[in-house]
Amino acid sequence: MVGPNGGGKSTLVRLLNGLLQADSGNVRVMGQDPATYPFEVRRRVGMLFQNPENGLVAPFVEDDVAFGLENLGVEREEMRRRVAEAIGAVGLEGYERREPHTLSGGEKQRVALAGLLAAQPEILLLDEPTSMLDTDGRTEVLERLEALWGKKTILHVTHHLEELFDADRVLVLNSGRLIADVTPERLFSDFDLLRENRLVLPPAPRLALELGLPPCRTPEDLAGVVLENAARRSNAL
Amino acid sequence: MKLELRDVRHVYSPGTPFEVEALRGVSLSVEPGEVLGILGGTGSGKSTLVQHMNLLLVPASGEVLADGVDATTLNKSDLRRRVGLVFQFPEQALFAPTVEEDVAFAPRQLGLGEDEVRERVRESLGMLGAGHLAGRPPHALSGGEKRRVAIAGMLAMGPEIFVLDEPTAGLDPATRSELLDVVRGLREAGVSVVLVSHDLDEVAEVADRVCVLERGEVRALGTPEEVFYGGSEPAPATVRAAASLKQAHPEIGNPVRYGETLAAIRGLLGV
Amino acid sequence: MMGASKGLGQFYPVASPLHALDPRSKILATMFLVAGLFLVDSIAGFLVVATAVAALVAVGGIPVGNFLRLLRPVVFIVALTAVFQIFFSREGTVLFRWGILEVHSGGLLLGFFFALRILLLVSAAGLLTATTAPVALADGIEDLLSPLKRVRFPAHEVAMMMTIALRFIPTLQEEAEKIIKAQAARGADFTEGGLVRRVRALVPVLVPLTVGAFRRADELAEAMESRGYRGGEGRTRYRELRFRRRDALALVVTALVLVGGILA
Repeated sequence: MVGPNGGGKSTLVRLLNGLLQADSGNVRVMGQDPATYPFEVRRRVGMLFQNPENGLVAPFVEDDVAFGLENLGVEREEMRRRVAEAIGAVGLEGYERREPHTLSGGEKQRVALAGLLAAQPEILLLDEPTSMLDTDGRTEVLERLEALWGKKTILHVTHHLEELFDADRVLVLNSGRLIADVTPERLFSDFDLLRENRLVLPPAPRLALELGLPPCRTPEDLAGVVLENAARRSNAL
Repeated sequence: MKLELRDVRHVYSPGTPFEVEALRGVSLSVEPGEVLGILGGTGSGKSTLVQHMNLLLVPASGEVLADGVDATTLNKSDLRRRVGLVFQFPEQALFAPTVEEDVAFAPRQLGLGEDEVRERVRESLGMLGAGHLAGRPPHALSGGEKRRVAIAGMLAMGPEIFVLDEPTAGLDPATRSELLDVVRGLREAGVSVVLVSHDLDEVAEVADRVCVLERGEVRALGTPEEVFYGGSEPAPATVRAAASLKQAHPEIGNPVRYGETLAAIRGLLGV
Repeated sequence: MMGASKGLGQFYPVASPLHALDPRSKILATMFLVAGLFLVDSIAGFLVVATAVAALVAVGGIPVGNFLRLLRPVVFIVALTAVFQIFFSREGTVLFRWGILEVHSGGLLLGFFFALRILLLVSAAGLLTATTAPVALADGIEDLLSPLKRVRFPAHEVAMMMTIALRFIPTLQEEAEKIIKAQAARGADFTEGGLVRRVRALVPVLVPLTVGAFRRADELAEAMESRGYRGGEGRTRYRELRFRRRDALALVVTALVLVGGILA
């Protein structure tokens, strides 16, 4: 899900797990209304926030990952198993007794992710999880998220359009309205859609668009397509 | 002003079990009227480095020279007026009841007359495209607006060198590109800008020179062309595209900015 | 990350017999000690308690240097109040007279005992926090207070508040440092002027810190709710608290030390 700031993306995400209640209309998550049955919905829906710092509750990594399980009343043996598994899934083995303020942004966000995964949700809501991270942190977190594709239902809100290359669908939200529901390829080739919703492509796909070429992920892909085209041109001449 | 760092070392918590050598002998200069980009990942020492530019941190060894004079001998407030430093997420430090009051803080601390203060506030807010926010309370603004106000607050000091530590962190792309325009505008107005960033593409767009830091040392220093086409550095997307085309088409040259890369490829395709 | 922060300040993570004790027994022992200290009133008594505390510091594996640093902030207050006692108490015989100031033998002793009490009190508290991880401490307090749940005392909530506060102390410290530097870069001066001026100079630091803290609280609450938090109802606990023989032993030893101190 993409769109300009203030367009309603954060609001929408919070309606999905009952942090906010709709004034009219219906919200159903797996058949249930999150505003009426927040606890039941939150068992199965995990949310990752933009600021990793303010989502970490406990003084140690281990205890924070266990926090969600404690809330769900999971029995201790099972908790230990799931916490260890989740910490492994995000590559933070050895970090169990670290304190949150000693961690980098990417590590903090991974701890938050581990906390979500331990609760074994079926749906993940990601509210701009990498926007406050630097390049290294973003890579760390995106790697772990990619491992979940196909296994969970994911709603990923972001400004970094390159994170959506492999999405099945992209929703464009602007001024509280759903403007478009398209494939990533369609989004990356639609000048007007991008401009009207203040969406900015990263350099390689943007070059492709402005050169009239099909969408490219990486600069190297772009170079490949350019070479083909240039070769065809010189053959034709 | 020309600012120079010569062989600067900095150690945090020396002599304790928490001792960390953040800078291991860094030498670079900030030339008048240029935009210097400082690139580096987590732990590279970028933030430590820039805090030496206005002596918020003092080197353990090495020198900081302002126009050839040892900066530690200069009046600190004067130095901090001439070298303005904006930290990452500067909006965390907004405190006044209105935007105007907050931006007026620095000029008032300088002891300027009310008329001059008001003029500076107006100018800086204007430069950041935030003039319409003057009477609003800072905490009611959006993230991007707060960021502009915080930067304007620093600009109101009238620095000769403006150091920005990750000014676009956490912002949406549209606001990001507007801030880069502000950087260009500052250069045009004769202010040198030091732009610390982890974003290669961003730095490639505005920098005149680039310094790459890794683990407290300078790994590369030069024009974007020199540094990025040098071979061993991770490069921005534009350079990567051009570099991949070079073998088959050496006529592509060494474009760095988006505009020149687009033009170069267009030339190739005869578009 | 600017500089290294010593984290939760007092917890010293080593393996020692004291670290292995159940936090509840340690909390109770510390409470007994603190209460008992007010009943000790002889030099021999204080010696007994002081020796015991010193022995515990050694057993706990805490470097003496660290420990003495803990006492540093209190030294000033202790000295000040001790001086007060010395010069304004009129018990016992007069030892020294200077103008209107008189030093009596009783006052001297009182001042001395007072100082010792405070130092031992702080040492006991310091021992507790040095040998007990904050999470364990909060769990221990929650457990000890839980009987009060019957009279609707929010034991769980209190413990949760403690845990969160402990978790955020280093974070807020770092933010404060950063804000101070940011304002210094704008020309703020925290060292000049009289008391009033200096307090006013703190406004650009305190306001953003406070506003920031409220924002953090909002975001934290959202995150906690999203993870299914709804108070103490139906919650299980990740960490286990088990009262063992050595805990009973610890309590008995503490009681003995106190009795010894009081009777000596």
